[in-house]
Amino acid sequence: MFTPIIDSLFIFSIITPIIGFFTPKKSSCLICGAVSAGGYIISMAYLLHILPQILTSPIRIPMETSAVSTSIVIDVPGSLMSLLALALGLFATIYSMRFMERDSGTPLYYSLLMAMVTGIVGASYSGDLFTLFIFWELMCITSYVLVGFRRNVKESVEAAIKYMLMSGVGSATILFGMSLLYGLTGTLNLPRIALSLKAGGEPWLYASLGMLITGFGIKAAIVPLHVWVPDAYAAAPSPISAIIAGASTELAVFVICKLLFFIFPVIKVSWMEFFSVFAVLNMVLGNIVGLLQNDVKRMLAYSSVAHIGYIFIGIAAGTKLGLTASLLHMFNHGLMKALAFLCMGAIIYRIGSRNLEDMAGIGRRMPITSTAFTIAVLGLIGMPPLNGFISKLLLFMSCLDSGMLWLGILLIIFSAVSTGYYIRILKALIAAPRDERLSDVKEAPILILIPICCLAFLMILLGIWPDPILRFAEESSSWLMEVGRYA
Amino acid sequence: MLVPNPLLQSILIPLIAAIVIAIIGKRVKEVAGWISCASIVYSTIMLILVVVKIWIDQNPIYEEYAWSELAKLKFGLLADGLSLPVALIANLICTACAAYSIPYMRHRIESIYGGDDWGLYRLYFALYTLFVVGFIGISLSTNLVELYLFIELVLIPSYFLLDLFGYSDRHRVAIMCFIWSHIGAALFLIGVVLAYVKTGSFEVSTLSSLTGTYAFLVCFFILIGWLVKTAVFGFHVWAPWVYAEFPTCAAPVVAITAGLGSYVMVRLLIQHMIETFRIFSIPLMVWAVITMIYGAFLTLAQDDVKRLCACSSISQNAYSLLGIASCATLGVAGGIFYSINHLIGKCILFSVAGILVHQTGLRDMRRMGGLASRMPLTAALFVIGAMTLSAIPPLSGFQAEWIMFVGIFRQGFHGSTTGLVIALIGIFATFLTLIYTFWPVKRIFFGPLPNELRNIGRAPYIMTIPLLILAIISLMLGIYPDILMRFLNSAISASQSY
Amino acid sequence: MPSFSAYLACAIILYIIGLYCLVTKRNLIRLVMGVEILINAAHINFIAFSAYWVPGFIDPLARSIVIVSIGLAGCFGAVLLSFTVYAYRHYGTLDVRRMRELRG
Repeated sequence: MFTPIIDSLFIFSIITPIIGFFTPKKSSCLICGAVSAGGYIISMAYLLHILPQILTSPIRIPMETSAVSTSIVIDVPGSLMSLLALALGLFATIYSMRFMERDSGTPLYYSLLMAMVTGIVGASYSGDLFTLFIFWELMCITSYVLVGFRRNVKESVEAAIKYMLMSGVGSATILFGMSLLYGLTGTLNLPRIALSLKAGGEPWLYASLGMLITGFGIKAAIVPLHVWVPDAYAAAPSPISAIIAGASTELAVFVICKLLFFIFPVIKVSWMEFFSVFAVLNMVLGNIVGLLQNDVKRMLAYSSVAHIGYIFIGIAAGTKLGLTASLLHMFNHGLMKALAFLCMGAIIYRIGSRNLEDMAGIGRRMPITSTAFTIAVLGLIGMPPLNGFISKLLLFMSCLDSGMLWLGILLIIFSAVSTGYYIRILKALIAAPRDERLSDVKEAPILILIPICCLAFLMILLGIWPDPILRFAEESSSWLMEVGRYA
Repeated sequence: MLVPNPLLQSILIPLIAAIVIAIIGKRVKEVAGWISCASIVYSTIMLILVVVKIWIDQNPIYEEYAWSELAKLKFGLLADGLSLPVALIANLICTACAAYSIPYMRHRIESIYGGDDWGLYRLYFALYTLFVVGFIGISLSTNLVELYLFIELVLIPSYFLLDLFGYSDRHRVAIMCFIWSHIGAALFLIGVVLAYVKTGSFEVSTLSSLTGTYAFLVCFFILIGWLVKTAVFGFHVWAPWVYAEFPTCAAPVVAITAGLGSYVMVRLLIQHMIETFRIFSIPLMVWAVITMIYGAFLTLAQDDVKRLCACSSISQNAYSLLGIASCATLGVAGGIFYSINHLIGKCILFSVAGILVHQTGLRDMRRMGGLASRMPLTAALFVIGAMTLSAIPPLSGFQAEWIMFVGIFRQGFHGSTTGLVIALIGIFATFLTLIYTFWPVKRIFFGPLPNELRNIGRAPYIMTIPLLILAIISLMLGIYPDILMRFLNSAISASQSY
Repeated sequence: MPSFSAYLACAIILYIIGLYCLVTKRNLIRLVMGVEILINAAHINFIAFSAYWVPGFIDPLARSIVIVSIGLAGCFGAVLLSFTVYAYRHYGTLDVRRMRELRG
């Protein structure tokens, strides 16, 4: 059908519930999880296998020759995004094998999760607005169900409805924006749109750009449109929060990048300033409201909003270094935020509460989880031996390169402000436990610990040895900025 | 070379030891402290080997390792006349404190948590060893990003140590320490990136190619960042709290962080950006003198022995700042010598304060008195520490101040009269030091012995012997300062005019 | 046959109606309908444009997009309505302004 990367995910997402139908209720969670993990591994193995080939020229799976009429281009920027999504999907699946054991309907959960990752992977590889829309909707709709998975809990349902309404409006707006683009150029193929856009038809181009950015921006947590983020991240089961925060939001930003740099270089100057305003709004709101939270998952959600602000700084810079820094920070933030949510989930699994005060002193009882959480938090602050520092440094350098020193200084100031609430998490981890509540809390089970440790290890590795991922990001940005190479 | 890559080893061995202690420490319990101590001793030996080699052939040793090609970062370690004495002293003090903490932490954990169920002992030593890695890294690094990395690396253990093992109100003080240090480091980072954008590289040596207002901005940010960390007047709010509430056995570590500020200023600003730095010279000297006098008066008002040491650190750091700001060869060399001297003296004083807490459980000097009869060795050590800080011969403090003030006065005569006036006020301030170091001697160790303290035992030898070694080093440097000056002169005079 | 810009105007008006519906209505089911109206506005746009480029020839690409999109909108509506059922079970009302458990 498509490429083996997406095919294997599709096949496994269909097989998993079938197998789940035949396994006994008790162990269905584990077995289905293992089966779907296999799907991710096959997909990632194939992707890594063809990676060297992609670096020279993208693989095109065009509309005419494939069985299903879509246009998928396996190129370097898409691979950056899909690698992140596949890795996070794999970790979330292994994690869910233990985390979701008390929920019903888990075979379908794995299937939906896999479909969501398929959506992310497909959307990042799309060469064509139609394909993008289909996979985008796949990701969105499955994520609606996953956020509200625990439908017996009031707040899950409420969060899911809020999320759905806003995101549905987003999808409709995207569709409208795409139709305007189609009206302007007569084609939906991304490189061809880029090449056939003339300078004429200006107002409609702005309208289309505005609609597309609004639509994708709802998913990407741009400030006035971010209101669903704290509720959805907090109420979703933790592995789902990890995937949505770590892959789906980054995908939205990635698609915005792709559209901006592919299609709209004609009106480059105006959107650069626009994005710096977005960046500042996101940073200010995310960091300041984050200081007021007591629920750790909401705090992490607002910190996501702030980090999206940092990513937008790189886009606002508009240079190649800026785009590289943004892509790198997208990847790093995905890893860090996913690690933070997974650790928080492990703590919730053991103590049943999301509140910061209830968590006090958990570090003594769950040392491995707490160390990993500390690593995630230090990375989010931007401390040196971890990967967050390198991408923040590059973002700052890109600001200076394009002459927006004030934006860079705001970046550093707000990073320092964000330490205010990250420190509260650290403090809660290492404080002395106040009473006997935590005396029978044990360390998280091994299946939950494995993804946490892998992510923490990856973070340290990428921090000390940033070269491979830096080269990857640089290649991606050079491909994204030159549409001509695709035609 | 006898040993391959001595500089890298001196950083890696403590790092590996820290990880090992964190993992297996719970099982080995008491031995964790000895592992940490052994690894720090090992890295000290590596540094001594390098010292010997440089003493013989006078060439700096430079090791370089690849780090990241794309971000243009090279991991370099440079041991020359300037960086090596600072690294060595930092190491020696950390060794002394490590040996000192072995019994002290047992007592501390007992008093806060009433028993060690959670392996806090090994956590302390694992974090403590990271300090050594950070300090050697800061002294030896040649790349600005690497420098920033090690600065932040020192921040993490200090936050955790304060929060877990500090004294009263430690949670608030820990957050205060974290935020202030982070702000200082962030300002430094702004300066670093500004420099990068102009010169295209993060190497320290490229700082010399900056000119004009741009150089002024870079110099300004780096300076302000480090002044925050050195707690000068205006930024000094965090210092008394952090120094005093830090677990006493590791308190000299905070002083070392501030002392390294002098080193970094010399390395970055004087060696490479001297013309721009001259613009800051007079204002900085005035600021230093204000800090000295303010710190001295603050110290005189203290009753708590640890706060006393803390406030005196504010004042002493300003001495080095005065020397460095004078931009005269001897002034700068004297400034570094003085900061080394201050570190030795302060370590002795803090450790004696710790011994007092360990033995008597008291920090308030009004309740102490006449302890010299019960703890003669401790009393002698405190007096030696006080002599070192007040610049009384034959200890090293005298030599340091002499060299520093010769430099400052020379600059005062050749330069403006403001320089001269500042130098005179500086000398006056040193008399204040004499007062505030010797008055506590009288209060703590002489005079009538209160009844509750009649049965205090002597301090354990493991606590006093490291301090004795430090005192002997101070004596050596006092009698034969050339050991140190030979290194400093060769490194600093290369970029000076007088 | 109405001129081409009439279709475009119609699509824009539908979009505005959809937004108005989402902003002012309180009943969940009406909000679902509002989103569907928004999606349909885009569909009209696509179909109108498909006939615009080459007179007499209709671009099949746009038509296929619309059919797929109608299917997807159906999925979306189904999921949203099933969550509406659960919301009704939890809250006892379909009024969106009553569903304010999560705050902050």
